[in-house]
Amino acid sequence: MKRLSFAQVFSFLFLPFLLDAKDFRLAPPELALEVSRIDQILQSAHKDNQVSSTKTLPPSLLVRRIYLTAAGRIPSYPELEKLAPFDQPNLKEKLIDQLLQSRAYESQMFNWWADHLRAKTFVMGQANQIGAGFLYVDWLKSQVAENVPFDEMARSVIASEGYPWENGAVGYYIRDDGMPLENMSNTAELFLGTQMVCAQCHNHPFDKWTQMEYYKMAAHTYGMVTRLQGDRAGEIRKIIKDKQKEMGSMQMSAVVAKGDSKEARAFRQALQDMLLPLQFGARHQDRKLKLPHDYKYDDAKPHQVVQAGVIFDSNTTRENGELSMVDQYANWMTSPKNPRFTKVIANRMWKKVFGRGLVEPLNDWKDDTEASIPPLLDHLAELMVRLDYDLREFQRVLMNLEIFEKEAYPKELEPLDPYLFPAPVLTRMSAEQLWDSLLALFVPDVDERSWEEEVDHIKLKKETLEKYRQKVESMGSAQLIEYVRDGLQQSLEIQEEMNGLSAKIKEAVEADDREELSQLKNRQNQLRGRQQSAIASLIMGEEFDVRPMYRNNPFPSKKPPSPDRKKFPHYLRRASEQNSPTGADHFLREFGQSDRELIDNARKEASVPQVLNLLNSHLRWKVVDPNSVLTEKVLEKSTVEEKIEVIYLGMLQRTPTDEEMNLCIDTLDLGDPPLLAAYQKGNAPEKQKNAEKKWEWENKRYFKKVHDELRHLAWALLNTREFSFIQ
Amino acid sequence: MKNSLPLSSELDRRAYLSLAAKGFLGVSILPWVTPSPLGAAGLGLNRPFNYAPKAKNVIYLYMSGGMSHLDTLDPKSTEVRGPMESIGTKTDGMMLAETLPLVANHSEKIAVVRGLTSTKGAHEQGNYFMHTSYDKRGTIVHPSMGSWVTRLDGRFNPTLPGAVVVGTGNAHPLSGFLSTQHQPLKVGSLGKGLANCEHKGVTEEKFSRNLNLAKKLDQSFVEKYNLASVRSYADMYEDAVRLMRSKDLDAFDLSKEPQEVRAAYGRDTFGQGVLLARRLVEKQVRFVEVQLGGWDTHNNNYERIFERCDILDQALSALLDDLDKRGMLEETLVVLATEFGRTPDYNVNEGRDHYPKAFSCMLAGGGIRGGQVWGGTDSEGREVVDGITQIPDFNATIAYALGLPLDEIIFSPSRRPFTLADKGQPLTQLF
Repeated sequence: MKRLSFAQVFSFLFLPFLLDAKDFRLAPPELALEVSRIDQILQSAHKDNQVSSTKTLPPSLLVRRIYLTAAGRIPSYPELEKLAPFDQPNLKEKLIDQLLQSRAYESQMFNWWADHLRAKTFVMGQANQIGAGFLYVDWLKSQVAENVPFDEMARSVIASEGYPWENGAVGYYIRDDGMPLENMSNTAELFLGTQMVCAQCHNHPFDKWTQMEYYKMAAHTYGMVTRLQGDRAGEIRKIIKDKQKEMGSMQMSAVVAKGDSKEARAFRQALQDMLLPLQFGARHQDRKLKLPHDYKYDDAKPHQVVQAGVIFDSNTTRENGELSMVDQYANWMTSPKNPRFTKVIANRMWKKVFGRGLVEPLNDWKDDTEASIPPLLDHLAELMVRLDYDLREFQRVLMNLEIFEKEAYPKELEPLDPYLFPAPVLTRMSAEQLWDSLLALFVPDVDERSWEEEVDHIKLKKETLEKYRQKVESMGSAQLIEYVRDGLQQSLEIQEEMNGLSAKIKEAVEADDREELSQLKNRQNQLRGRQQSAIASLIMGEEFDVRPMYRNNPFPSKKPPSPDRKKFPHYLRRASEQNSPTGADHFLREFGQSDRELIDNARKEASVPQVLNLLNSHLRWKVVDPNSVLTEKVLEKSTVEEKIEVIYLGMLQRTPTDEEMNLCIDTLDLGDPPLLAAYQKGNAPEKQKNAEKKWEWENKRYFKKVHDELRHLAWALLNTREFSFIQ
Repeated sequence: MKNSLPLSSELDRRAYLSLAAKGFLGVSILPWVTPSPLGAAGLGLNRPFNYAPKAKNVIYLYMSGGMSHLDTLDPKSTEVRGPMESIGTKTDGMMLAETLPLVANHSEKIAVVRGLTSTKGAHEQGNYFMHTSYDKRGTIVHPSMGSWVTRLDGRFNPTLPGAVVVGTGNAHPLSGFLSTQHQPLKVGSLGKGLANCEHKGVTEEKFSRNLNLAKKLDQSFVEKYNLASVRSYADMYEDAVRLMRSKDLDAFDLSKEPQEVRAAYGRDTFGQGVLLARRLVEKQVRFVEVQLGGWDTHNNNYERIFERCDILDQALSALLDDLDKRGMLEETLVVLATEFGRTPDYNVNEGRDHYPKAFSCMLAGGGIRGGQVWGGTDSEGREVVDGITQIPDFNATIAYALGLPLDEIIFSPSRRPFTLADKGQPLTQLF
């Protein structure tokens, strides 16, 4: 059997790169200088401790690593083709730069941020009804796309203010609505890498934090209020109360706050519906935090008001009369002089690129915490400041280091072993990397699959909410009450209809009539939607469509879906374009996608459902289904060996060894191709045409079988560790 | 013994025989116990002799977010109750909150533990402590109870997982530092059975061939990277294939259950999860945890408690009823647990905040004497005044019901010694 060289496998040679290193903070010589400085620190650490590095990765596997780190997925086959030959000069530098400027980079950075900011598409409680989570996620995406520096992002969330459509960052507080103390612990953990949470109830058992320090920290953001309509609702209630007195037994008395008549309930509901879109956001207020009733230490008494105070001295002047308490807090937290802030993010980024932190664990720093290579962490922190907390640039430097080119370290590391990074640590692909890599194998333009309709819809949603806000704010409370009264009848009618439906739904549940049930539920949702927006519609007028305020997804399109979308349905899009997080039984969650409940909560441990997914889910054939990108390339090749090489390159970014090739050919049920000569033999010249036709038909049948068997090869490779681990 | 024969009585007999055979002859007569990829799959060989344990398996209902003790198991008549009323039960003197009327009808089966106390007032830490009996540290993950059970006492059904968790997020400690063979199976969606268990369109022969091919093609990588994270996948492939071929796979398929039974547990995820738990325990899965979230009632406590309790009350009462009718209650320990209670004082948002100082859990079946209340709090539910119970004590009680050795030391890979319930002492008086 004749083996092909790389260059032959790739028919397109020397496609030049189009991009220059524009938009980067560091010009190429500066970058080289930064890289060599860190390389030197690592080298001397290795030399001092007599640690030897691993082998350098073969170029195609380095491409795999670069793609997974910068683009969050493996390269598609066409992308790989364009990079050949892999030994061209500066391929590594160019590829890193190209990918860091791509949509793919944004996608994987969004995943990282969503895990750390606990960004949820669906937040708890009523804020969900106007899609506060959608707006939070939308905001986060825009920040990542603009590559906003880390410290600026940190200040944006900590000191966020406004309605969710004005400033999606308020989602950081809305997602913790009613839990200001937990929110503070999370902020401290995210930005300072410290676990203060135990000190909420008592002095920390394993750290130095006292309960007093906890409360002092929490006092900074305790004034952060997430329910914005408190004043308006109070004012309205007061007017109603006054009117009730004034009007005595008039109709109004039937619809005021406390009664339990049908009308009273409907009135309250309508009032609530009217104010709901304006209920959630964030505002800095003066709210005093008190110690708990069981505070047991000598330095203060239970219920005593706590003055805000910080846990590290960062030599920044917090007392700035012009800034709110929260703004001062945000400035202190994100100051380069804060001894933790910069090191914590530098360490997080290091782990993101090399699989393990210089400080482990990442979220439990103490005063005596030491990095495994102390001068390196000091240097990285200093670099982070010089790069103005530009995370993209920072990762660019790390990816250009010499150790990034090394094969993953092959020895077991215990959690507390100080590791000196002779090589990156072997890690399993994250859930997102795995999902996105699968997609890259079969979906064309995998990075461009966020639907325009959705982007447009979020825009429309924001505009609608803003118009509603302006209108409502321009009105007096008394006028608003009138609207509620006007709409009450309608609301009541809808309520009647809904009550009727509830009875039917109960019947359908008992009869287990699924179809009927889903229809009834749809109808009920429609009615609730109408009821919810009834007063808002009155306020805004007939012609104004208020539905986008409550609706998070685009209205169904009347246009038929494009052929492309039929082949590659909506659900086949990158992890970043799915709900955050996906549902509990989604592929992503089974492979450990963060549930967005805790910071840095993604997991990489093996599990049975993961294996079942790789063995049996419908995705396993997608890689090689007739529409797949990889299949297209397999079909282009004419021999079985070439086809096998394409599958190997597409999935593992390397060619098979001779041994593997033989194993594949021996194991798969391929048979031998029909030989034309055998068909032609002994036939008279006038019958040659027929013989050829017969051969062609046999040949076609043969390759159909081959392709069918090659699906099994792809399946087998999908089920190797080599596919799902990053070497 | 109840008159209706439990499905498991056959297994019971076989387990006994096997135990005897192993003990006296040094052999196992059960074909599926012999070639042991299951590690400590012995049958109860580690049990201590001072108590004849009745419980074989556990259904553990976890109320995530911190269930208000005052509005469920420890109702008060003082002002702290807010609008909440108490109701009597079938047991004299046992009062529950009006949120649990159906459970009240089964009071003769349950033991309410009202003296629980902890110092972990945050979800992550509290949840972790309840599941592991250890403080959460950054440097190690401790195993959860289900994994301890299979580690110390083995699986009873070799083709199904030893432990299953339904409805949990990523924070669950699962098997912690124990090997992945003890990892509880996380079930995401319910109803149609476990997803991806069939290799549709591929013959058994080809499936095996492909699996072998994958193994061979992966050989050089697996040899080069002989690391725990890589090896654990080999375990998972074995488990997954065994599960796919299990004759008991139907246990995951709730559609095999009559409609009225499904309805009895409640048509919500939790209710159906509890029903799944019963089906799995019937097939001798050792420890099934089902979580119900949403108990973090910082806002509108009163309304939200009712909403949660409607779900809990229906599912839990249906479970007790069902286990009883099937004669499975004696051998199945039912646990209702949560990370902490909630503040006696309502906050400005008409909610209750976290309160680890005093809270309640519940036990039933598995040899527990029903109709009893252990421990108590003061008239406002602020302090435990009687029968103070630490979380490790509560977990030791679960282990005791199963007859697990509380003093057996298991070493983590970093050679640190751990025991099942740390230093917890069981509440033997409950049995």
